Amino acid sequence: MPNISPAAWNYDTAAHLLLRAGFGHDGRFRKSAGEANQVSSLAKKTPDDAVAALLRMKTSTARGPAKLGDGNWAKLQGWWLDRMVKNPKAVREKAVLFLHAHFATARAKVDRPYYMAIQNALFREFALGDFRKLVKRINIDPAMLWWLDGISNKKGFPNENYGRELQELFTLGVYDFAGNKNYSQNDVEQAAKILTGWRNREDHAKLSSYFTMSRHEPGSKTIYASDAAETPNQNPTNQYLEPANAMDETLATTEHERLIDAIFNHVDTEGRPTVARYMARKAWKFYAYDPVVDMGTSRADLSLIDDLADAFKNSGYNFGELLRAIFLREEFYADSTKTVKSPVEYVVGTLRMLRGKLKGATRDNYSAGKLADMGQEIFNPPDVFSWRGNDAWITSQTMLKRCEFARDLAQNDTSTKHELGFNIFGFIDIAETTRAGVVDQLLKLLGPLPVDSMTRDELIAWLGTMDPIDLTDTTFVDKNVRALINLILTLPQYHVQ
Amino acid sequence: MPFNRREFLQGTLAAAAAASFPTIWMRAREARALDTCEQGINFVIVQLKGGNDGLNTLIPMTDGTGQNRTVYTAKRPYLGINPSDLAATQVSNDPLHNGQLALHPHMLGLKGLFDSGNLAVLAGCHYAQPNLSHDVSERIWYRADPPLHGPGTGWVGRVLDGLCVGQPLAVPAVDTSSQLTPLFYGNTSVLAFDSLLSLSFPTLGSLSTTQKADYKARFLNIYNQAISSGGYLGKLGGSGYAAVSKINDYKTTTSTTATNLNDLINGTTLSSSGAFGVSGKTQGYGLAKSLRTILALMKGEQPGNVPLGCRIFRASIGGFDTHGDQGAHIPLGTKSIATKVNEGFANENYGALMHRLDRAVSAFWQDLKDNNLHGNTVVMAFSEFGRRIEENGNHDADSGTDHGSAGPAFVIGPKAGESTAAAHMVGGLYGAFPELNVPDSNGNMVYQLDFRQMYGELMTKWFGLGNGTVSTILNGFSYSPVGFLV
Repeated sequence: MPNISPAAWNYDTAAHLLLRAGFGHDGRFRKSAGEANQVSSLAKKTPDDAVAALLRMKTSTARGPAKLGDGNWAKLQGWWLDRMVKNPKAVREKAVLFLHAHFATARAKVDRPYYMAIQNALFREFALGDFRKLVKRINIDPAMLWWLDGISNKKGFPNENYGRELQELFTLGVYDFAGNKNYSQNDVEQAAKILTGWRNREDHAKLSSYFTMSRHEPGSKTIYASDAAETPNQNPTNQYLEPANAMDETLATTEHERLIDAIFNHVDTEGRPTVARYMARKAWKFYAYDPVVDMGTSRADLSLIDDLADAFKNSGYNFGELLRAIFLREEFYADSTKTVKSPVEYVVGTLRMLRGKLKGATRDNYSAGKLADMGQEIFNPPDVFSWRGNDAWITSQTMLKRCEFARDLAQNDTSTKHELGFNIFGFIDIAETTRAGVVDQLLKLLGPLPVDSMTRDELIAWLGTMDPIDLTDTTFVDKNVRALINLILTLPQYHVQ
Repeated sequence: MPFNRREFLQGTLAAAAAASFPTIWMRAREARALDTCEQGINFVIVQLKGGNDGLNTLIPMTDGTGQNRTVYTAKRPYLGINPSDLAATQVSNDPLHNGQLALHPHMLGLKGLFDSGNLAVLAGCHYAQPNLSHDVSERIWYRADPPLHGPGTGWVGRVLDGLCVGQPLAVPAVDTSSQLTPLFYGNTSVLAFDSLLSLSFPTLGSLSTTQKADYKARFLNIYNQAISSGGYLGKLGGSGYAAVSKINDYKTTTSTTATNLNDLINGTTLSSSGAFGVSGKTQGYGLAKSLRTILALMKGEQPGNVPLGCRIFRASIGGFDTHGDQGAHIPLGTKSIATKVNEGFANENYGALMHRLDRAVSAFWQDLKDNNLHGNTVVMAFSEFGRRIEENGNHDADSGTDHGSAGPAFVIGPKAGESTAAAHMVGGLYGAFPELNVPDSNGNMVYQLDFRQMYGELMTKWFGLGNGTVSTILNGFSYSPVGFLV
């Protein structure tokens, strides 16, 4: 299938793009038109120009609050959450969220907020940039060295943890699309040896990792040779020999970067670039839906993912270019029910579109409290496999906790002492006199949400039995209309995108 | 199959009738006409997340006619546990070489259950061609599908789908996790939460009681409507409907008020033996708390309650991915358990895990007995894989073990005379201890008992499923009796 055509481009597709590429529009709209400004403005462009406008930005190196002390997670979590809600370039923060979920480093083990702030800034710097370079930086990122035991990976006593996850989760995947193993246990051990020698400076004045030659495994290492038992079909061109670097510290210090080059040169048993395929699939799953590509199934999305993989590889593994290819695809706009919003997408998106307020201690504690209850505390994925998404988001607890957020936001006005709430009269059009008019306007501004007629009828009936209604009646608005917004924010259709 | 409003009203009336019908709990359940899949036996799954170092859970004390102890001592100079520290937890001998085997020295509770005939230890339980990825191996255990070529659903999910066919609103299982474990993936709704106490259906504080009821009814109508949509909308519909109708109603029943539930889960009244109360620190352990929640739910099926009707439960304990800092065992003669608990098991990370697991599970079993719920309850414990035979690092405090393969699984249940179900436990050692001197090419143990045999036995004997159904659920694997359930 081709890219989306200009003829198919409209308000709905523009809204869909803003929701998926970022967290939804910024909540500014003209009441008379009932349309969000950001959406209307993108809808007027061509798809190419709309996507280009979203992706055009300078590199950001913004880092969380300075002087983060031990245990000061709330401050860091509040800072990032606030940035996701308020930053007009939501596309970048969404990519940071993708990279955070991808490299899945958690405070549960890295009990050092300042390390995680450094990693978060690294993701921001590379959010739309060179992914291969980012992986090289992640190799020796202090939080990652702590998280996957790189700091105890040393000469004579290799620790396989990072060497394995680097290949399994961050770049190659265990199996290729044909079901063949991409790497063997020997490759894990070889990678671990290449990565020996790195530790962290705990000195707050210069927090960084550093290399110690005496801790580095000096011998030669061979990776991606054919292994009869595990990878009999390993492509011969994949093999890489790192010569012994015992005498040259400069060469030894950059060994880990050549490992990444070898990984990015890996070609799978179908002759395709393994990293590009793996990342295209993973990004498509995050931004669009879980694609069907594996051997043994219909492989319905194989050519789509391969197109994206080609675009990614040809750009020199530029993540922004992968995103451009994703956002332009026709299939990206095909269905708005194929992915369940993550808790962060749910909360941040709602705050943006309603111009809600989340501030103070409530904001700083929201990640470790309410978002964790919904299943997604930022800076704390459950393990290296990260948040499972979709099915895993849908549980009785998470549904009720989402209802709680919706209620807390819907019932409070921002003019009061509440730290979570929104200004309803800034949002509704008080000139509207029909129940259906109010419902349809809200469904459009918070979506557009395609709901069935029975659901729409329930929403309309909630506002009473007959028209006209009076939206200057503050009691009616504060009870019925706020509850209506609460109900819309908990619709099954609002939880998917 | 959608659930229509008429049926919903009937269900509501039946529940109301049950609530106003002062009688014994079985009759109250009958009055509400629980779905058939929500009745009968209990099954509790305990998952050790991260890959449990099974070689330090079930440990060779002597060689017998083999070399397991010799190899163990050689490969584990730092993490190995001395035979003299294993005397108190010795279990059966290994059937292959007659070497003596023992549980970890902290597993005093499970040792008691072994002696009483309630515990089956399944040695060397895993699958052929082991995968060393947590994720892949977990998926294999979840789906009961080593090639991962079968359906993406979980084996328990498929059991539930079979038991609950034609009952779209049945909610027969609880996962004490905020995210649903893929073990349960299927078409049947499963309740999942890690904090029952904090759950309720929130509505605007300014609404009147009538408005709140109206609001809730519309929410349920919308969610009920979504169930028939299929895809994620359908799952959202089922999950949201179950959460609001089941949990909310359960929690607002008079005898499960928040105070009572809190007391059940966090207090001391539940356990007459006080088995959880080793110290204040024990109570906070996640697994103990999850198991107490499960016990509270089982116990919550009392007169006047809206029964949850759940029968299958899952709890988990994490921290088993001990690549480093695994910690040597400090003999109990040197330092008592009580002292270790007070010190937070300093430098004894694996020992702490074993202690927590042992205390939580054995206390849970004691509490089941104290509440007369043990006769129809079986508990199974598993991990996605064991760990490498040889310890890593410089044989010091930094040392740990890398990903491995086979390890022991555990099943606890009522023995003959205790069981009120159709089957009963025959405790003992099953499977065989892998030969440590004949590892696979990665230095890992070779499995002796296919984990699907354990699943098959549970499905056949405990759930009473037919051979054909069991074979379908196991993707064609043919189960033959192991013997721990008869």
